[in-house]
Order: sequence, then C-alpha cells, then structure tokens
Amino acid sequence: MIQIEGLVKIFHRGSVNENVALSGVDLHVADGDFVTVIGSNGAGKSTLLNAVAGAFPVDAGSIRIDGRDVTRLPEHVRARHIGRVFQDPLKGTAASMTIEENLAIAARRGLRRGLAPGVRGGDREEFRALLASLGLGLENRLKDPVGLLSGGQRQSITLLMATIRRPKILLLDEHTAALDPKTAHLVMDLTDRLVERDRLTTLMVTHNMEQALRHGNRTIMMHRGRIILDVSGEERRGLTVKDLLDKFHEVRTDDEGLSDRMLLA
Amino acid sequence: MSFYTFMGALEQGFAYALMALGVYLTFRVLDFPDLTVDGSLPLGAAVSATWITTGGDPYVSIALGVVAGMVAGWVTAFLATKLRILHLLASILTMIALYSVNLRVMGRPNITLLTEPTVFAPLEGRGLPNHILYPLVFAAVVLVCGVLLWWFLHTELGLALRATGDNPAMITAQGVNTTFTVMLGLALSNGLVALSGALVAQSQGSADVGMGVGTIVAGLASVILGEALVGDGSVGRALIGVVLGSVVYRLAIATALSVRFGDLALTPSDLNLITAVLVVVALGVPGLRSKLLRRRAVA
Repeated sequence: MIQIEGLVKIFHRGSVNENVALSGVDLHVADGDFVTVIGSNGAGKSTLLNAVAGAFPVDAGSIRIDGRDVTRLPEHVRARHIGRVFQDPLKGTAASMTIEENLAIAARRGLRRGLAPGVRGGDREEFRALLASLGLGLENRLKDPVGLLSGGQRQSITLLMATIRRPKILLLDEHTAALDPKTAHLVMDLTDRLVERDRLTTLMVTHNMEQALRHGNRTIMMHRGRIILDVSGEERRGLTVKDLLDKFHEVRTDDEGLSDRMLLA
Repeated sequence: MSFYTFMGALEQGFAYALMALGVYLTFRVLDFPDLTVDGSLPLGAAVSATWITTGGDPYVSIALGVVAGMVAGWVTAFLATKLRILHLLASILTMIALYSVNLRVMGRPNITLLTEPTVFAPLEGRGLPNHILYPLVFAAVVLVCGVLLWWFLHTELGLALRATGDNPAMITAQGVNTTFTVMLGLALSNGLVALSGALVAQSQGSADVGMGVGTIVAGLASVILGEALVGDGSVGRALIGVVLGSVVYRLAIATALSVRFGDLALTPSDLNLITAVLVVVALGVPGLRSKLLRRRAVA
C-alpha cells in the first residue's frame, strides 16, 4: 500500500543548522499492515509521517500510495487518501465549530465541496451512532463547539474524522502522548477497534515501547534518519521492551565510536 | 439628537453594516486582518459612480462595483498565499494600489451623482420621505445579504472556509486547499465592502477617493461592539451582532458629535481618532484586566 524508496529530507539545507532528518529511507508497507514506529528524539519518525502526508517537499526519493506516485502531490490532494491524527489534540479539530460540523467536514474528505448544506439531516443519525460508539456521551452534544471538550474527547473525535471516510492509510503521530494514561488507554482501544473494523493500513509513531509492541503487527525503529530495525511476525512476538532498549543503547554507543565490540576487541 | 439625525445614523449604520459583514468574514472567520477594505469601499463607489455618469444602468453599476471589489480581495489573497507576503502587509499594498486605481477609474478625485439616476430613484416620491426610505432600503439589503452569508457559512464550502480560519492544519488534512478558501473568503468579503461603497455613493450622491479612510477601523469597531452586545456563540449570533454593532457605532458617533464640552465640540474630522481609541479600548481592555487580576491574585 505504501512504497517509500530512498527518501531524503534535509532541513535548513546549506546553513549551520543543516539537519538530515531522513537519510535514505526505504519502507514497504503491505495492505492492512499496522506498523508502529519508534526511535529517539530527532530520529526522523515524525518527519517520515509528515513526508508521507506531504507537509513539505522531500529532497530525494519517492513515495507511492496504492501504486500511485504521490511524491509531488500537495498535502491537500494526498489528504484524499490519508487519515491523520496529530500529537496535539487541539490540532485535529476546529475549536469554534460544532461537533457535527467537524464530522461533516471530515465526511466530505476527498469529495467536491459545493453549496449543499454542510450538515444534512441524514448525516446526524450516522454521527450520533459513531459518537455513541465512543462511550463518552458525546452523541447528545452534536451542536456543542468542539472547544468545550477535553483533550481526550477531541482526540477521539479526530480519530473518527480520520476514519469516517475509509482512508487508504492512517497516520498517527504520537496521538496519545499528550493525554493522561487512562485517556491514552481509551484512545488506543478506539484506535485498535477502528483499524480492525476497516483493516486500515496504519503507521503509528510512538515514544512508548510497550505500546509499540502491544499494538500493530510490525515495528520499525529509526535512528538518525534511517530504519535500523524492522521486525514482524514470530520474531516480533518474542521481543520485549528490554530488547528494544538494548538496541537503543547499542546504536547510541555506536555513535560515540565506543561500541562494546570495539572495547572488547 | 433630532429624529432626523437619528434616522441618518440608522441609515449609515445599515449602509456600513454590509462593510462590517465583510470585515467579520476576514477578521473573525478567516483570521485574516484585511486592510484592503479601505481601498475596496471607494472602489465600489468609484466603479458604480463612473458607470452611472457615463450613462450606464445604476443596478448594473452596483454589480460591476461588487465584481471590482472581489477582484481587489482576490489580489490581496494572491499576494498573501501564492507570494507568501505577510497578510497584513499584502492587504496594505493592495489598499495603497487601489488609491491610484480609484483615481484612474473616476478620472478625478470625486464624482457627483446628485442629478443622475440611482437605484433609490424609483422608490422616491411614493409617500415615504427620504430620511425614512433610505434606512429601510439599506436595512432590507442588509437582511438579504446577512441571510445569504449565514446560509453560505453553513454549506460544505462555508464549513471549509470557517475551518480555514480556525485550524488550517486540520482543514488541509481534510483535503481542502487553503489557498482557494482564503481567495474565496477575501473575494466575498471585499465584494460586500464594495457593495456597501457603491450603495453609499448612490445614497449620498457622490463618490470620493478619500471616502475609504478609516473603513477597517469602523468595521472592527462594529464587529467588536457586536460581540460585546450579542456574543459570538454561533454564526447567526455573530452576524446579528455585527449589524447591531454597526448601527450602535453610528448612533454613538452621532451622539458624540451632538455633544459640546464647553468650547470644545467634536467634528467629523475627529471621528477616526475616536474610533481608533474605541477599538484600542475594546481590544486592549480584556488583556489588561486579566493582567491586573493576576497581579492582584499574586499580591
């Protein structure tokens, strides 16, 4: 579903702040795969997701979604096939607009927007059912501005919005990191349910290694703009958080030129 | 204040409410402070007046004025989105350019329409004196435009426009090209402002290249007054607030002009200063108050 070849992104190219965020990433994600992406700060996880979403032009390489080369397509055109949830719960919804208006905007993703009523009578029933499935009591608050809701409620609505029209890929950028543990758990449950319901091809960035192993069917670890670990299936089932941490420390000491191997040699 | 002055203020309130609706659309809905209006208001007037004095139909002249205003708004949006010029600066550039454009359109600094046919002419002399007729006509136009704007802001396109001002990242992720929505919003806004200018020119019987000075400040004052009076809980409330704000603003000015402080009497030339102070107070006081409250809480 996603084919990324030799993807390079350099921020502030040619300045003292030059930062190679992606240095040749190759990644193939099969239809229905749920990939969790981990790595230290600045490893390039979010940059990878944003590159797929089209938030900025890349410096080299190509991105294909469902066989179609989207490398040069602007963000709003790619959005037709992409559902996104951001780390900041405020970023996925329009605060001054009502719950039903936000959902109605999402229900037209990828379709032409004209002069028909934004929220139609028939929509409301669908929205109410979707909101009821969250179990947050939002189904009776269709006309409340989203700004009145908590971060967890807004993130749940953003998830509904990202999936209300089945996207070809779902991009989750640390979407539970800003929530308290209990709410984060609820949002992750909802994520699993929605991904399973529509068998969505998903990329999820997370800082939480336990989360990275418990959810999805494949995990990649990034470091310095590269993918340094890619596990799935049997091999992944055997992995523990400790294994991942060991891997982290290994690459970190590699950077300092003092790997265990060198010391022991 | 005499009844005659009161009706005059009412007429101005409704006439400039069309402009204030435009300002609301950019300033509040799109979160785009647009000073183009200082140029597009006289542009509407200039195009309309010129068309009429060259023998054109007054209704057509209004349509042409609106189109000219929409183009002006589109230009500002183009500068801000495609050329990435800071929105405020982009609108100032268009505004300055329009001063020259307006002089070109009219060929002179002002045009008198007193002897020309206007859209008001067919309604005059049917039993209603002009100082009652004109406010009614403007109120009707405001009602129609207000309802149309309310309807539009609830369509699929209108929702996308509102979301553009509220959260550009979100609406882009939902597949909307914000360059397009900003262009559409600014064109609609300046179309309304030009409509206001064209109707004002026809009602007061002249178009003047200087008539746009301070338009944005008056528009902001109306929007802010409306929010204070009615609130901005929903689009409908906000729109009613803007119209009410515009009327209250003109009434307040008429009152201020009729008051004397000893030897000092305010004149129309003081209006911009008064309005600016009013807007500063309205925009600045909430921030100052919370600052003071915080200081008191600490002490």
